[in-house]
Amino acid sequence: MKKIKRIFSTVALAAVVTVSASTSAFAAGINSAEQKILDTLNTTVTMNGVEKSIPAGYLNQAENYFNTVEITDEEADKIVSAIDDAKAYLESTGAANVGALTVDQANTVVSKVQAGLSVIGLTLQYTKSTGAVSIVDKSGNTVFSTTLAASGSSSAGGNTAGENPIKTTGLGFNVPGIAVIAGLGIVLVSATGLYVIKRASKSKSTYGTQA
Amino acid sequence: MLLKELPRARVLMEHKHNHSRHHSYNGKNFIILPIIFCVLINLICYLMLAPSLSAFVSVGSLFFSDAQKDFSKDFNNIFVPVSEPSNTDSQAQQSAETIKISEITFPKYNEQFGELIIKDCQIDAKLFFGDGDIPLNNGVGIYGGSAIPGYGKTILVAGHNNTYFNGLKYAQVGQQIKIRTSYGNFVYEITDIQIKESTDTSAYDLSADSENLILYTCYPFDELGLTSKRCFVYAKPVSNLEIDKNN
Repeated sequence: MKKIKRIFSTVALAAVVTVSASTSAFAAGINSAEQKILDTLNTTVTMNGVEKSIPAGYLNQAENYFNTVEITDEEADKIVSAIDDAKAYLESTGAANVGALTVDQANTVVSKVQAGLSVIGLTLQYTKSTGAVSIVDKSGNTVFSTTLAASGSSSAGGNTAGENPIKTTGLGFNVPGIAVIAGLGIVLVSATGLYVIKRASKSKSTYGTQA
Repeated sequence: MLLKELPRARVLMEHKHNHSRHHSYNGKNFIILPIIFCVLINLICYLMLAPSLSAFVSVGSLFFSDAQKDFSKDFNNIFVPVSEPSNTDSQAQQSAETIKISEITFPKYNEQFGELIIKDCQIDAKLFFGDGDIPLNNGVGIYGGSAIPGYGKTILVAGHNNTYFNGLKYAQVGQQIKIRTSYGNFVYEITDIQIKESTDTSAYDLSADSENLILYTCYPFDELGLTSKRCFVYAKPVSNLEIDKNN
């Protein structure tokens, strides 16, 4: 019994060591399969007669993610096939850009993209109200994040979808003091307004009585 | 008593007289002209006050925004400082040094993986991957669609103007920016500072195939509220440290 336990422990340890070693080796840069996917993403799609390309920021996000995983040739082929399928469908819609797709067309594109993502265990999430698009892995970690431009996507230019990489860096929302001061200011202004109105009405009634 | 009431009676009579005279005017003068007058006055007032009002509107948007904000201070930190060479300033003269990509732990979104220091600007901030709420509330963040230091591409870093990047107002050409990560310490030199609209796509090039660092924050620096302008600080690498993508 002890011997079986020892053998089992040795096998388990070997498996852990192998997986750990292969995981760190897997993350080593972009392999040929991953490069194939990047090259496919880098090709253009013709929408309503105009050639569109994926924004450089999106390609960089894909490259950053591929640096953390290892994709096999078989997986890459399935993903490339899904990308080509989605591109062909986009071209067939006749829409000028992604923002101009109907709800049904957008859902079809999403399902085609999801088919490619599911090959490597990724899930596409889209919030229509905010236009936020994200892709998460099995552990729930975000591997891609963007916000699609408003319908019509004039800012998208020659891109399939538009996102402004420049964020709102105005006020640190982590400064509760500013919110408190601003809140107090609003209360103070309101109180002053009420006081003035009350005083005015009081003096009016006094004047009325005198008259 | 009767004498006292006389002026009041005169006023009432004048009012009555005016009232009857008003009836002789047509409705156009009483409805259309006042509306046009009102619209014009409001338009003029708006144009005059718009620059001042925008600040209040932007502050108001902080209170009435429908976007969900994450105030969390919990984040994963994979930053383990590595020792610096004894003479960091002379790194430019050193021969090119490479780091194997297989030895790097690539950061995930919202992970701290380094720190960004500009001594001359009194900036010393945690460096995150991603530029969402968690990174910008706790430090400065690299846009996920740009690259990490040493990768040989554009590094686009955002920070709030009233906290971690407030010191960018002291930025000057020639100053050094230090980025410390778990896989190496990088030095950049400021080459240019520009104020541009946030929508100006000429402010950055994410497809660049040479290493360049861009820091940005809202402009003006001390303005309360949300602004449309950004201050971009451009820098080139000084240290010859780069990631070997093939190994």
